[in-house]
Amino acid sequence: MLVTRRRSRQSVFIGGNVEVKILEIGPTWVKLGIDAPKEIPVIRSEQKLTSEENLAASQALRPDLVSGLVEQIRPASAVNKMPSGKPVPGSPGLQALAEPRP
Amino acid sequence: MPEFSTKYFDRIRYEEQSVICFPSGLPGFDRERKFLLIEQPINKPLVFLQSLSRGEICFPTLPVLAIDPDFRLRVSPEDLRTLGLPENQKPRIGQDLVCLAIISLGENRPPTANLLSPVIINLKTNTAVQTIPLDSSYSHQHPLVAPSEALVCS
Repeated sequence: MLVTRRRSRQSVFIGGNVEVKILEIGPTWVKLGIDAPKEIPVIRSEQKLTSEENLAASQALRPDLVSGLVEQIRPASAVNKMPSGKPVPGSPGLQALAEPRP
Repeated sequence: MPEFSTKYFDRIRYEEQSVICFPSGLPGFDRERKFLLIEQPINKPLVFLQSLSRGEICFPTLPVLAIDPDFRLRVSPEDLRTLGLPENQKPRIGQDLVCLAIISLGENRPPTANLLSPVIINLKTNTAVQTIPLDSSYSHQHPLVAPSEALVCS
């Protein structure tokens, strides 16, 4: 890993056509500006983590794992307050997902 | 009434007004725009987010409040616009606003919930986003391994 010290308004280049500029430095954050060609996607690391997590979640859906999880969480969920509002039209049962309005 | 073949629920029939639209898809699934929420009595409190374009894509989810009753929802102005919610008002999980965490159920890993990027659904407009806040203290792999403790209401 390259470690380098940069000040506000300085920058580094990655691969000749990607420039990462330090725009502003705050007490607990830095503001970056990234210039990259259109074909190079620039995303936050959280977005990448979310993509990977979504891929894992959609692929590993197995009935036995689902029922295993349900068994573990059901006793506790039974004590969660379930509102008894009117069903949302066209979405039977969806009212159980939301907390009641105060 | 439209029908759709799914991998996990076989053939399902649904009403058009139950279709949830993700205008920009989900991260990693940019092309999946239309989903259904499926609840099965046997699998409560799980909620399944079933794609309506690819039958094999189905996300198991849990309401975030069932995982963390104190969950603090943060949504960017852009995502609020997508959801058709006022930008100057803090969104509240409630009757019209459902907030779900996608669950990862791997064979070789303990089950976890993605509290970092919850799925938010506005049931008034049937639009949804998976929001990724700029500053979040929540994990993308929140453990559900000790759910009997984690789920106890305070």
